[in-house]
Amino acid sequence: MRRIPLWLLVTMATGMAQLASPNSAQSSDPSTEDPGYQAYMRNGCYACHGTWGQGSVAGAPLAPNVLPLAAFTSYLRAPAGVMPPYDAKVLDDATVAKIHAYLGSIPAASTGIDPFQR
Amino acid sequence: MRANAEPFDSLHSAQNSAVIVRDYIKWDDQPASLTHFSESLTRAYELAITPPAGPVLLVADSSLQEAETQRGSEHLPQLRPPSPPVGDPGAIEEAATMLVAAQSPAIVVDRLARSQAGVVSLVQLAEALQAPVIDQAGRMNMPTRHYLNQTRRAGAIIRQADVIMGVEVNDFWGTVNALADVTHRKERRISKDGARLITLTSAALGIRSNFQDFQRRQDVTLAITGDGEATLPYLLQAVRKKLTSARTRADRALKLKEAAAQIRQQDGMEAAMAWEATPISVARLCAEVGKAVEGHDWSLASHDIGLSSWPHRLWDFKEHHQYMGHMGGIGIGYTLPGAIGTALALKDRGTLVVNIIGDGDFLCAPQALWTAAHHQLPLLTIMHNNRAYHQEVMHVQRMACRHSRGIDRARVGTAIDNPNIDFGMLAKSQGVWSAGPIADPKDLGPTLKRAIEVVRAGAPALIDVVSQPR
Repeated sequence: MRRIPLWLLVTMATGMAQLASPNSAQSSDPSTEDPGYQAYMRNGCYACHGTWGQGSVAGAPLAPNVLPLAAFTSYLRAPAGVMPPYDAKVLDDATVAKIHAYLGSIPAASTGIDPFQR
Repeated sequence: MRANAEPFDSLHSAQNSAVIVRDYIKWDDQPASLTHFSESLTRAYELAITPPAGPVLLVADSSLQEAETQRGSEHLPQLRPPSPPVGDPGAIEEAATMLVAAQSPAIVVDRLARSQAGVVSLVQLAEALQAPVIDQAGRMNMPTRHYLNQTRRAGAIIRQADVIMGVEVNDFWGTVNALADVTHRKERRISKDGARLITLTSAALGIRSNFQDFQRRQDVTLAITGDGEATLPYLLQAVRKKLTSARTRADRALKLKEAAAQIRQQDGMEAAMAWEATPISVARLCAEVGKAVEGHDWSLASHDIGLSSWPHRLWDFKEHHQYMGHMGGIGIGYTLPGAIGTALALKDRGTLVVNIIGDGDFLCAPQALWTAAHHQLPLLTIMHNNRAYHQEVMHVQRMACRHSRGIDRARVGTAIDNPNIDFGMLAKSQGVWSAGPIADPKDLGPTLKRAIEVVRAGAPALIDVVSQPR
């Protein structure tokens, strides 16, 4: 199967998500009781992708639009670029699914935020 | 240090002290007389400020320091700063010809501007050519809100360019090639086949052999040795003489303005993600600081590589003194002393100097805060406190995953927690006003306002912000 770069799909999807969900509000942190959030943090995903999957210079945005689980898992197992592979020994499929569900629960950014200096 | 054998009055001595740093500095000397010292000091200053600029060292033996002198015997040389080296006129003409004829020229800059004149020349050249500029931010080079600043589209610009000129670029090979940091290194050319490559740099005049930062060598069409800032006015003159039809450039200008607007929109959307997160998102941190310093004459004295470049993406950098560049080798320990030096240099100007610094970087020399307090320097330090030597956390995680052993030990020796360091208390202990730790983004704005009042009154301030890693 041809691998689709995660960063490319997420980058394209993020733009569409902002238009599709204009009134979604990110009003509070994810629950620390969420097993997906716990797995996400425990396995170091936050280190490059941020605690909300928002992305950084070190890792592509993962939320608010997440790849389908199969593609997400496939990329995790054999990523392109500098992201390290997480094989099933390190991160089993059940845990990947929890992480995926957590990322899928993160809403789009609120509209009306102006982060720019005048 | 004593050069001759005398009864013991010193625990230590050395024959060649400068050897410890000789590989890192431009020049050193150990004068043997007061006259020699005067001449060496003058030469040292002239060498230090002549591009490529660099540190110099004079070693003064204690015998020289303590010897009696005769009044009137002092020799005070005249200080005549040498003119900087300028590129060969023929090469400048050749570069101008290539740039004017290009369909898709591109300019890449890194350590170009030594002063506001460098910023002005770069903008004029880019506007004359309607050439996008990729600013690798070794210094403040290109205004961030100028539509020709296309740094965020660097990959696309390099791929489509038919002429690429790098001006004082530290890593030109890495500009036109990509090297994946994976176990088996993979490299690929980014620039297209047939693209003409021009370099303009004084780096060859100061290259060192042992500790190397010149990166890989890139084959180029034209290599011009000369200081970028000093040479650009001559290049601009040559370009302007050759410019004819404005039609192609007008078309380019329109596309680049549209692209710049799209980048800004994308940056706005990305900054808004995790806006209310705890730990505080780096975008939120930088946005709040940017808004707090609006209206002041400000300068960012710290680099923003570890901040995902959010200051460059959100703030309006226009003038040379507004950004001091970065440490050069992604090393830590430079930022706080560098920011203090910046605050000292800009004190008379009344500039509000901002230092957004990682906790690991800060902990290399935390006692430097006392210097800021002692000299009453207008320095606002914001801790980007991600509670780790985070570059190492990421690297160890990558190595662990590559070897399929899990990352549960990645924070051993890399995390700075348990207990968490109270940077506010550390700052107060050295006479610096402080606040924090702040973990709720809503508290940032009011705290920054109070801190800036302290700094405007002429004293340093520090805010500890518990932040996301990058």
